[in-house]
Amino acid sequence: MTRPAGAHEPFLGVVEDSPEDFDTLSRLLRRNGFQGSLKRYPSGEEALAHLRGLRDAGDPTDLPCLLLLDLNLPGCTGCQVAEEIKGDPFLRAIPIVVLSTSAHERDVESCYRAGANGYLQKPVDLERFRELVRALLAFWFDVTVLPCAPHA
Amino acid sequence: MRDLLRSLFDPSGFRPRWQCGDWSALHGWVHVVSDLAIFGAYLTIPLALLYFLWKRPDVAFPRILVLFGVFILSCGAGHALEAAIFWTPVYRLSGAVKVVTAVASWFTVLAIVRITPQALTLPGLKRTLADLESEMKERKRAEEALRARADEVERVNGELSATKTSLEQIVAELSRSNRELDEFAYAASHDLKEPLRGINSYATFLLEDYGSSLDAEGSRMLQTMPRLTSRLDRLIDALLHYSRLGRIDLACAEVDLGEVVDEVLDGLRVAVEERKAQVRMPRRLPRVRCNRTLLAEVFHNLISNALKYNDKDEPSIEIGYEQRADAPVPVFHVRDNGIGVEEKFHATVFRIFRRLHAREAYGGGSGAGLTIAKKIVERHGGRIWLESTPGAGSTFSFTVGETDA
Repeated sequence: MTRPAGAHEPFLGVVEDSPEDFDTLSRLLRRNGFQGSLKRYPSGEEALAHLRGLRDAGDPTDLPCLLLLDLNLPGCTGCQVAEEIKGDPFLRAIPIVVLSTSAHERDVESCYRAGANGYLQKPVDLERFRELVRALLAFWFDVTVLPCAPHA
Repeated sequence: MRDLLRSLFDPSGFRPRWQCGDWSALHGWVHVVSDLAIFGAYLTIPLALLYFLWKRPDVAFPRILVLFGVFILSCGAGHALEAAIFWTPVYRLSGAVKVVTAVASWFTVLAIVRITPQALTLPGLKRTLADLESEMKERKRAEEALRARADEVERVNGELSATKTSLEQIVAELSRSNRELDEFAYAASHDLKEPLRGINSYATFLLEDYGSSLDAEGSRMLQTMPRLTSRLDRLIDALLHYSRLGRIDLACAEVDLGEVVDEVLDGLRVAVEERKAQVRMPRRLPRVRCNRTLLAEVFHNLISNALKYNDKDEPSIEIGYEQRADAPVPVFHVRDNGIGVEEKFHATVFRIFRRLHAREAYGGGSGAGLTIAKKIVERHGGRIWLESTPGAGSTFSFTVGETDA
């Protein structure tokens, strides 16, 4: 992954209750060239509390430039978290990519309806997971211009 | 005719009766009044008979009543003339009327003689009444029996409708528990996958990070773990897919099954070429109302099984159908010259995760293909069955839509 010198360090938020899944994900991200900061939220409530705190502090550059969201969370579900974020005039700028074990169309549709920007199915097979993370990094960090990109 | 009438009414040669003999007024008038009274009565009797005939056209022997009427009427006319002769001596007319009376009376006598034996067989009114009464009793009994029968039918109907209601409840209960089971399978499959992914990842990370400190045996054992978790993953997927088949909305449409099979064969081209298989479609499959994706899956599963479970150098596969004139729907088949299935396993092959051969033999697979094909066919209201000669091949047949079975 190439990055222009002096670029803002990308901050990736990961809402994931399973430490193993977070472990796997962060290892795959790091091994495939992601150098920004990673923050794990073990529950939707914690993610929302932290993001609302950043909002109230008022600096948009502190927000994560991408939020990876698990669906099967304790307490409020990933879908509800997406709804909350996309319902907030300030936080809604954060792109949300759902990472779920489920590929059930009911889940897929309700996530997009809630405002998710992408939906990926977490595979069990690590090789396929690795390919998925490579594609994710390539799309969101090489191809896409994210809201936290440095102002020219 | 006129002359005849005139001569009949001609009184010449006779004298009125008052003038013949020594009539006292009382004696003469007794005759006159009595004759006229008799005439009145004899005129009334046929009128009464006429009225009776008019009201009761069903009366027995109506002709004799008419004869009797004529006889009485002519008797009456005779008496009227007897009274008239006291003043006008129409003896000729009186004679003619007497002739008529004689003829009519004898006809009546003859008629009575003729019908007497017949009339004797007629039931008397009393007997008729008794018959009627017993018939009514009989009818009442029949009516009561009928009513009892109707009550019985009503009771049975009530029982039937109660049974129907309870059956409907059972069906509702079953479909609810089916839905719950599907939901459970979905949630369970989902939750089973998370730890599975952890095991898969950590085994691979162990190999990546610590592989060099393990000996060959240790590495081999560790390498087995991701393979096993991946298999479990596929089994869970098959289970999940199977459970969803029971729930999804079929959304049937008119589908060209010939096209579907072409697409399936396109997807299996590499496998077909690898096995050097001959695939034949004697005639194009018809259009059928079904879910296209699911029917494609049925053909995919059957054709890939036909390729897989085949030990011949040149596997041959035939995909076709038969439409019997008396059958409501066509019967599709996928026929192969493969290893076949023993009769005792014909039901077993459709059971989920049931295998007849070692996992690694014949290319493996999740072991759910035929179960899924069966579920799809049954969701479409059809059925699937197998005919096979072990060693010579199998034919899997199925219908889509209601069967006569």
